This record gives sequence, structure tokens and C-alpha cells, in this order.
Amino acid sequence: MTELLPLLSAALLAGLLGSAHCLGMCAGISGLFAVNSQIASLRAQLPFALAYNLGRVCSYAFLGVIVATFGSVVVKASPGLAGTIRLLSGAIIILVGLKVAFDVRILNIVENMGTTLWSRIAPVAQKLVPVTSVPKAFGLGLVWGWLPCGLVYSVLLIAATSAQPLQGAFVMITFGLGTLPAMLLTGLGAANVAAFMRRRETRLGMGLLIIALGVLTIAMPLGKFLPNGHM
Amino acid sequence: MSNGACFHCALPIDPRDDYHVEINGQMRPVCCPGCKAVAELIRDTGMSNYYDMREAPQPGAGKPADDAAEWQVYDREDMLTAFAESSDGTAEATIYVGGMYCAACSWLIETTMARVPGMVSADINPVTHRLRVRFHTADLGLGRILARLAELGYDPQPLAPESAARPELLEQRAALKRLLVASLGMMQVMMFAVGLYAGDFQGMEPDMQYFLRWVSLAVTTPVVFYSARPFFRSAWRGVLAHAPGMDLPVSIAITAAYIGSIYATLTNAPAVWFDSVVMFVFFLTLGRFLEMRARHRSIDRSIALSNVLPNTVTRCDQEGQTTIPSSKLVAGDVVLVRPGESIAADGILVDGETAVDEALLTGEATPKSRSIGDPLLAGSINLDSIIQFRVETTGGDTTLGTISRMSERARYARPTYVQVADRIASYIVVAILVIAFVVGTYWYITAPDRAFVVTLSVLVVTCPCALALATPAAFAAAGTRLAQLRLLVTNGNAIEALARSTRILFDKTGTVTHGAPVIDEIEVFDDKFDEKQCLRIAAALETVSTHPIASAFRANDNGVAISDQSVSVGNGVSGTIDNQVWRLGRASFAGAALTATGVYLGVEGRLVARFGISDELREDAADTISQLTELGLRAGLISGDSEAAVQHTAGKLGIAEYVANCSPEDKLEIIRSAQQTGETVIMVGDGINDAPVLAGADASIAPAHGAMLAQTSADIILVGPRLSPVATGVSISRQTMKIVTQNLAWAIVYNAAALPLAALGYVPPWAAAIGMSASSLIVVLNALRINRFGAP
Repeated sequence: MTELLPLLSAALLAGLLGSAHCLGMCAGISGLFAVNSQIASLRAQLPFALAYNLGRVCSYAFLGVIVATFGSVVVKASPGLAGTIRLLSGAIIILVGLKVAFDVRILNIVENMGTTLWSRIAPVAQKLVPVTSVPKAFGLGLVWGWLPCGLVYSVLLIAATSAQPLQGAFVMITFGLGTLPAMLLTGLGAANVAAFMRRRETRLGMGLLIIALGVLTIAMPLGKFLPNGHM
Repeated sequence: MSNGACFHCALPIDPRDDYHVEINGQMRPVCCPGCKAVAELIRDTGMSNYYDMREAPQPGAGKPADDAAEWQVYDREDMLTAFAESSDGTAEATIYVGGMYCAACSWLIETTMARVPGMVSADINPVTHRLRVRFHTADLGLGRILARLAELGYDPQPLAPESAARPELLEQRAALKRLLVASLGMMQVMMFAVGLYAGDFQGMEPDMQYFLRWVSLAVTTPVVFYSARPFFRSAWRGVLAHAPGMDLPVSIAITAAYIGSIYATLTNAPAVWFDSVVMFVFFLTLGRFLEMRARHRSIDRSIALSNVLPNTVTRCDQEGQTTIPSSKLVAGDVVLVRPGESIAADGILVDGETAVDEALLTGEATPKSRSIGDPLLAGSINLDSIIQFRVETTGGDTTLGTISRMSERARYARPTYVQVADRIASYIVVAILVIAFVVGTYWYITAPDRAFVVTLSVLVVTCPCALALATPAAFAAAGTRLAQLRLLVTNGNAIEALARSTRILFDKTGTVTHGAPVIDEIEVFDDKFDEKQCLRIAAALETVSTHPIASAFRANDNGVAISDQSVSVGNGVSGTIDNQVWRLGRASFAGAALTATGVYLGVEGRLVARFGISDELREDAADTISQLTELGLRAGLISGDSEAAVQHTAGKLGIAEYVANCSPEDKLEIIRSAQQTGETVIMVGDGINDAPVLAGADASIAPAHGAMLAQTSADIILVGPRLSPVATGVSISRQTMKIVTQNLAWAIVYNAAALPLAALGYVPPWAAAIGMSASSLIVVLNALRINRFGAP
């Protein structure tokens, strides 16, 4: 299980940091929840917010299962690739870290690919708005999980390299959980969170931490080749 | 919003990108495909006006500089006008003191401030962190006060009425960052800790264990140095002030566990406590954050009072209608108000006819109809039609402004109770340190390998946070709750007195009645005068009087020449007209001893006329009296009016005890004698005419509105036409004292139970962290229950 740790950590950090972006982007969602959102109390909105976020995390988990299944198929087809995939996983984590820390744009291609997919899903989302009931909020969350978001897609790549459906789901759920604090804290000063997450130092610090995790992912299997390694 | 920001999420746009979305016919730049997708969705579902309605994105606020010279600017005259209210050479200002963390801080600030030359008084509310200072403007400037606070290590910010909300946001932002770092750290370290424990079972190779410990150290470090910094600062301040606060044991525990763990990591010792450190800091920060949120929420409620004013208004002048910011309004402006809009200033209706909702100011939900010449109050809502009104007073001078200021002041009122609790907490801190030392020494002698962990647990588990928060949290919550019920507490000790009270005495006119008397009967004894003349003379005499009855005559005033006017409290008014001394008041004062109720007019000792005055009872007066009786209070009516009038009113209200013909001295005597028999007396009366009477009671309540608000001297001011908040106030005060007792009992029981367990080594550090945080949270949450008391 220690092998999965860096993957989960990276997903969590990416989620936490990404939530600054989500917040700006998805804060509008709360505007969709109730026509009178200015008046609706935080407590009244909470069930909606929970349902919506649960939906989102479910979608992530589903996507995680899909990509990780794909990864596992590849690994099963050619077992020799296992080491390479782990290497790939580390590399992608490092790329995510670079994206976060220095705004390096390597993963934009993936993001643009998602736009095509989204255009198919958008009509469904339109039917769910305005959100008038908790199930609708859950539904919107499910759809929202498919938004063309570079970070989600990057973490999906990480999930794919876990090469086990359940682990892929775990990675994506952890990512989703990472985005939760900011999304749920909306009433508690979301703007502050966003400002903090957007800070250059924050991004740099967390990005470097993610990169370190990528390095750890690559380095851990190498431990196997150490004299007493039995991981 | 700058051009480089995403239209949807307000994040900066990377110049290399080119994403756009068309909203309301305009091409708007967005930062990414995601935002584009969401914006299109919002547009396609017809919710585009979301963009018009949402709040403007908040720019990051700058950090206040620490330079001492910057405070000098606050010594300037214009700054004084902006941040303080001055009168007769003294000024009063409210300063938000950032960086206050414990009860000892308030003690330190108060003592230091009291010693500053030129300071009249300095009161701090430890719950809202606001310091209210009164000082002589000749000897002391606001800048010097701020500089002194900065020297003590705090971040002072003077509060102008408009910016009253900002410092909370700043503090919240800082606290949220600390909480984020702590929670992030906790998640990571916990993950590693699970890895380490799992490794223990699976037989993780030492290299990996060593590695994970180092990673834990790396993650714990920012948590200790960033998230926990407020605790260190506060502890150090306490040490400097010789008044150790609850953060001292906390800081010692964090430092010890952190350094101990580093030592263990370096020496490859069997255990590290990084998880405990991070968890302790996380829970403490979380507790403080929640407590802060609760505190800010109570402030939010009073700020909400001033937030109801519109930001912009439509001003009508020669050039037609212009939209201007409400803050630019001055007396004399004519403002147009559409239905549904709120009224921005106090003024007089000059065009149109409508109904207004004044619920915010008076708590009264029924709309009031208003026609030309009627007064309008800032904060009320225009319901029916388009009206225009002429502004009379704006901003802090309006009724709304006064109410906000007074509810604000309510929170500074620091009961003696709270001060005592603060001192006790300070002694307990010292006791804890001594106990921790003794326990540590004992374990070091008997089982040296466990001495460190046990001492750590003792320090953590016994932190007297709960004790220090128990009382102020409850009183602050009670102040807020009472203010919501339109009872503005200006003296913190009043809550406790209200809770103890056994007897409540009411004044009649303006208290159990509306205080808007009308003349319903005129009897002229002297045929040289007619009714009209009598009314005019009476009106002229009453021009100097503030007694509620005077308002009944006011309409008849047509400027009769009068001189040598004087007021004889409890008797009436007198003045000279055409070289003759006229008197208006009690029969005995005006000329002869007659018993019929009413106000008598006399000239040179001869009775001329009698005016029958009636004043309607407040609608809920009788209900209020019966509620008070149910609460076990003896109600009484004491009034300066005649026997017959008072008896009549007492009968209607169901009050058995009444005393008529009371002078203020008599009233005071009644209160004194009740107090001598061991009763706690609440006096409800007009705060202006009865000031000494009110002062003699254990707690005083005065109904007041408009200009009277700021002048009343009562402990509690009742706003609005309803009397029933008095009864609700008594029961809320009793519940508050109950909560205080519960909180103190809980804090003492918790500490008494946790200490021996920890000292005997049964409590691991992480459990201590949870126990301590839970105990303070319980106290704060319990206090917040007061917010729901007495709900209609």
C-alpha cells in the first residue's frame, strides 16, 4: 500500500490547489442552485452543495476506474511495461507539479481534447439548471465531473498509471476530496482561500512538493533493487 | 476587473491563450476551456444576469506595515474626525486589535492603555477584539495610541464606521491560511504515519521508515512555524506582561514535541510525535477558527444593520435625476425612492404617499403609512409607490446609525464577572506549569523513558482554553441576542442583574404607554380666556419641557412671547408671559389642590384651565406584565401622575402595586427600600427625565427612539413600540447565567478529570489534543445556544 501513497498525496495536493481554480469557475454553481442565492442561507444551501460535490466525486471515481482499467489492460497485455508505467506515473506527477509551480503548459493538449467531449455532455447539464432539488444538484455534480479541466485530466493520467481499477478510483476520490474544503467553505470566505491558493509562493511550494512526490514514485520501485528490498 | 482577468472566474488569463465567450452580446475573455464551458452553460440556461448580480471579485488585501512612523498620520485632525467621535475635548474611537489570542491579552492592553497619559478610559472586548478608547484630544492623539498597541506586538486598526467589517475579513483570511496549512500538513503527516504503522506490521525496511520520518519532519515544520505562530506570539506576550495566558502551556507542548521528534529522527529512536504535533496544531487552529467564525457572525449581525442601506441613491435636483453613492448624501438633498428600495437616510417625505416597513428599526412588522411631511427612517423599506424625501441626517447620525453604534457598544460592556474569570485563568496557567513540572520530575525519576510523553500530555490536556472562553463567549452571545430583540445592552453587568432580579418597577408615561399623549378634554375655569388661548399659553410653557406630555401641546404653539422659563421636575413647567407667572402641571403646582386627573394651567396661583390627557397603553403591555409575573417577578407601577390615572392604568395592566404622585426622589426611595429588603430591582422608565432613578436600580431599561437614543443613561435601551422584549430579556439573561454556570462547571470538571489521567500516563498526546479542543468547542457551542433563546 505504500506504493500508492505518493500517488494519493499528489492527487490530494493537486485537488487542494486546483480548488482555487474550481472555486472561481464553479462558484457560479451556487448561483445556479437557487434563483435567490443571495438570500438563501448557507445552511439551506448545504444539502445542495454536498449533493453536488458528491456527484462530482462520483464522476471522478468513475473516470478513475475507467482509465485505471485501461491501464491494467495494458499492463496485463505486456507485463514488461509495469516498470515503465510506474516511471510514466512519476513523470506525469512531476508534470502536474511543474504545471502547478511554474505554470508549464504541457498538459493543455489533454485539456483541449476534453472540450470536444464536453460539447456532447453540455445539453444534459442544461436540463439540470436551475437546480431546484437535491437530486438535481447531485446530477449536475455528476455532469460537472466531465468538465474540460486540465487538472482533472492530469490526475486521471496519474490514476491510469496505478493500473488497478480500485486504485484508480482511490486516486480520483482523493483528488475530489482535496477539492472539497474550498468548495464547501464557500460561505466561510471562499475568496480568501482562492487568494491564498493563487499566491505565487503557495503554488510554488505545493508544486515542488508534488514534484518531490513524483520523484518518490519513480524512486520507490528502485528500492526493490536495493539489497534488502522486499516491497 | 482588469482586462487580463477571466470573465468567469476572475483568475488571470495566460496571454498565450485565446478563449472567448459571448455574454449579452459582448465577447468576454475567459481563461480556460472549463470556464468557457461553464459560462456558456450559464448563458444557455438564461442565467446571464448571474454575472450582473454576483459580488465583485475581491482583490487581495495588503498586509498592514509595521513601521511605527505610519501611525503618526492618525494624529492628524482629519483622521480624528474620520475615526473618532469627539466632544468637549475628549474623543472616543474604536480600534480593532488584531493578534489578540487570549484573555490575558485584554488585561495587558487595558492596563497598558490606562497608563498612557491623556487616556480617559480603555475598554476591550476580548471576544470581538475591539478596543474602545476615550482620550483627551489635547494630550493624546489617536496615532500615539495605535503606536503603543503596535509596540505591544498587536496589529491595531482604527475602525471607521464604513470599514467596520474589513479587519474581521483580514483576520479571517489569515486564520484560514493557517488552518489550510495545518490541515494540509495533517493530511500528509497522517498518511505517512499510517504508512509508518503499516510498515511496522509489514516489516517496512528501515530505509523507507527513515525516509518517511524525514518527509514528516519536512511537512511538520511549516505547520509549527506558520500555523502555530499565533500561539507562540501570544504566549510570549503573556510572559512579557507577567500574565501568562493559556497559550503558554500550548506553546511549550508544541515546541517540546517538535524538538523531541527531531531528536528522535536524528537518533533513530523508536517513536516520533510529528503526527501529534500536527494534530494538536490543527485542532487548536480549528477551534480558534470556529470560535472566530462564531464571533464574527455575531458582529455580522450588527453590521447587517448598516448593510441594509443602499449603496447608491437617486438624487433629484435641477438637472434631473442623478445616481450618487449614498455616502455622498448631505442634509437637504431630495432623494427618489422606488418601491422595494430601502431608504438611505433619515428625512421627511416631500412627495408621494406610501407605506414603509420599519421592522429593522423597531421590530414591528406591520407596515406604516406615510404621507407628505411624515418622517422616514434610514433602513426602512419603501413598499408601495415612488416617493421623494428630503434628507435630514445621514450616516451615523441617523436612528439606524445610533442603534448600530449602541449595539456595538453593548459588546464592550465587560461584566465584572468576565474580568474575574480572566484573572482566575491566568493563575490556573501558572498552576498547570508547576504541575507539569512536578509530574515530569516524578516520571523522570520512576520511568525516564515515558517522562517526556506524559508531561507533553499533561500540558496539552489541561490547557484552560475552555475556562477562559466560558464566560466571555456566553456574555457576548447574550449581548448579540438581546440586540436582535431590540434590547441594546450598554452595561454588561445588567445581564447578570436582570437574571437575579425579583422585582420590576415601571414608570407610566412613555413606558407602559406609547408616550404620545393627546389632549382629549379641556375645561376652562376662568372666563377671561378661551380654550384656544389656554392651549397656546400651555404650548408656549411646554417648549422647554422634555416630558412626554409636552408633545401633546406642541401642535398648538404659535410663538407666544415667553420668558424666565423653568422646569420643576415632578411638578411642571413655569414661565412669564406679559409680566405674569404662568404655571402648568400638577394642580398643586398650578394653583389649587384638586384631585381630578389632568394637567392644570394657572396664573399667579389661580387655576385657569384643566387639560384632560390620555395616552394609549402599549399593545403588549398587559401581556408583558403577565409574562413577568410568570417569571416570578413582582411588577409595580410608580408614576408622577395622579392617583386616579395611575390606578386606572395599573388596573388595566393587572399590576397590584402602584404608587402615584411620585417625585423622582420618591421613586428612588421606593427602589432603595426594596433593595434593603434584599430584592434586586429593575427599573423600566424614561431614560432622560428619570436618570437618577434609573441609576439607583440594579438594572435599568429605557424605551427610547430617535434622538433620545443617544442621550439615555439606562443600562439597557429598548427600541421599538413593543414592551415584551423586557420579559424575554429577563428570561434570556437567566438562561445566559445558566449557560455561564454550565460552561464553568464543564471546564472545571474536564480539567479536574483530565489532569490525573494524563499525569498517570493514560492519555497519549494525540488524545490529549482532541480532548482539549473538544472541551473548548463544547464551551463555545454551548454559549452560542443563547443565539436561539427567546425566539418568537
